Amino acid sequence: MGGWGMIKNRLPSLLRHFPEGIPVASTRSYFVHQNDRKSGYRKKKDENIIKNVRDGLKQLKHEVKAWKEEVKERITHDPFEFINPGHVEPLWLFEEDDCLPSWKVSTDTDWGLGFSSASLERSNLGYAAFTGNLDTTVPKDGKTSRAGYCSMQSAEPRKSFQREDYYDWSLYTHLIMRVRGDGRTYRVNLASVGYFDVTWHDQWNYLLFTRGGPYWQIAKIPFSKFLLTAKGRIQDHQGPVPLDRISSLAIVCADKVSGPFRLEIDYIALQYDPSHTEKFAYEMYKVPDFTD
Amino acid sequence: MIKWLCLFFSYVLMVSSHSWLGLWLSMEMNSLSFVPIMIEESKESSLKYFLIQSVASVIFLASILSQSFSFLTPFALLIKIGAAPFHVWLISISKSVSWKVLAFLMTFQKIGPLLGLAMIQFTSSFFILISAVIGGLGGVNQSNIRLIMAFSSVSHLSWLMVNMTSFFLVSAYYVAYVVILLSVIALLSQSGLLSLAQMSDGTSLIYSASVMFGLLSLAGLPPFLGFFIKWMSLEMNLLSPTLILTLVLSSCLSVYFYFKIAVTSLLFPSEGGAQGAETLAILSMGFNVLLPLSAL
Repeated sequence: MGGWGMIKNRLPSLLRHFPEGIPVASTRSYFVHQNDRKSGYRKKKDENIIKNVRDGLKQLKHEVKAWKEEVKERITHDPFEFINPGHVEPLWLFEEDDCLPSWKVSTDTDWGLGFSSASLERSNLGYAAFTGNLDTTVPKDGKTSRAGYCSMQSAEPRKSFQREDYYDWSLYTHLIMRVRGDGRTYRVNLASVGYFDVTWHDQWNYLLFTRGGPYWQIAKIPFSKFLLTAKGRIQDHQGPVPLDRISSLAIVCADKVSGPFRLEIDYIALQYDPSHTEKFAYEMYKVPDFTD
Repeated sequence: MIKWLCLFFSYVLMVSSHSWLGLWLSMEMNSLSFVPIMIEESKESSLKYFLIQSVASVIFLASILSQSFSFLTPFALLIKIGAAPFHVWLISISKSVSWKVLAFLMTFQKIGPLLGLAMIQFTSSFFILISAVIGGLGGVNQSNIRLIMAFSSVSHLSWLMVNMTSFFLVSAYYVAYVVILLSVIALLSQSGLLSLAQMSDGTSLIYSASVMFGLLSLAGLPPFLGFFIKWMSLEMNLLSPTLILTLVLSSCLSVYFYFKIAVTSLLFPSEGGAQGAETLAILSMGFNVLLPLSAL
């Protein structure tokens, strides 16, 4: 106890004064095993038990209804639905659907680790516009060395009773995005949060280079081109995206260039292209098990 | 290379072990050498496999070392083999691994636990019934081909357990099952299709026909090899009418989902097809059709 207390008192981040409302993050970990999926980046929970119970009971009716629908669909589900080569399955149609509220926008400002700002709104033409200002100024807290991060992330799918679910994109080979950028490089992240802590932070990244100017571009991104990272670090042991267990899709602006950014998105969809047979694009320099 | 050598050595150890401890040791070696093979495909699946096999190994070791826990031996082996109601890990893993790993999981990885069950002549009607029912019902509403094969594996475990009274019977069923299953998996993996929904892409007629023959053989329809092993199981074992009825009905359910794959592949024929795939298709047809007829 004394040892840990002595180390804790010397952590410079605890000497920093946070403005009111910004949560204090604790990212220091001394063990290989992680017991917190969010690594300390958690909002304070409402401690009013009576209110939580009342809200939970109100939600119970909807969850039971959702569960009944799931059981019904599982029993009556007829999987005879053919996907022809070239089939495009829309995921998010921003012009038509009201799916903007389900997307979460976050920046480094949320945790006092930077000064960027971002928002996701409907543009005057009806498309989704991810706009903001990227600021690479590093806060002087003695702990942060890099700053400048803005992200929009899709909501994680949930089953009834808020059980975790996944998107199953295993039938498809490409991710299609119709976007109009500003010439910046954005990062498309596919998260696949698993049961175990070793896979909690696995994300597959792809750099989306936008053209800028008034013309739209259709980015057809093969899933084989995504690169595995964990907590922002490219992993040594790479592998293809586990398309049957996708938790969320995020678009990130973190190209280390301070200034305003704007990305308009018309739709995000999936495509099945059987002519694309590549499983994973990157050479792993692996020697075969059996050599001549 | 080493992991493959260890894996094959573990199979040799399994079949030549004379004691429970020897069997446990060989099963441990087997699972520990299989995990690095799985980890290349999916970290999640390999971790799940490792944890499940480790828990089962601990239970098995406790049961063989202590008389008080000896009743747990069959449970540990059933967990290892993925029999119902301990089949959930197998279904969960099947979706994420390749055909090569799935083929090993459904065939050679069962050698050790099956040997153990055969040693104690485990023929519990409860586990036979539940495997037959869950294996049959589980595959009915599936469109993922790997999941269908995983449920079929659960269903076939019930037939394997029926034959546990005799080492010869269980070996004969197992060998025939492995031959049929490997021929079917070799064909399915060649096509690269993961789901029934993708079958509209078209496959050659000979390929579709051989897939159909393989699946009908697995379903147990005459005159294929699968029929003769199921007939042998019913003829050579003293089974209650309830058990016979359940096994036959679960086979009917299995026929439904095998037919789904076979008919879907026949609905969209194409004239193209790799030369290698056609050769494989002909070989597979030979195993499933000519092999049983040659015995007659």
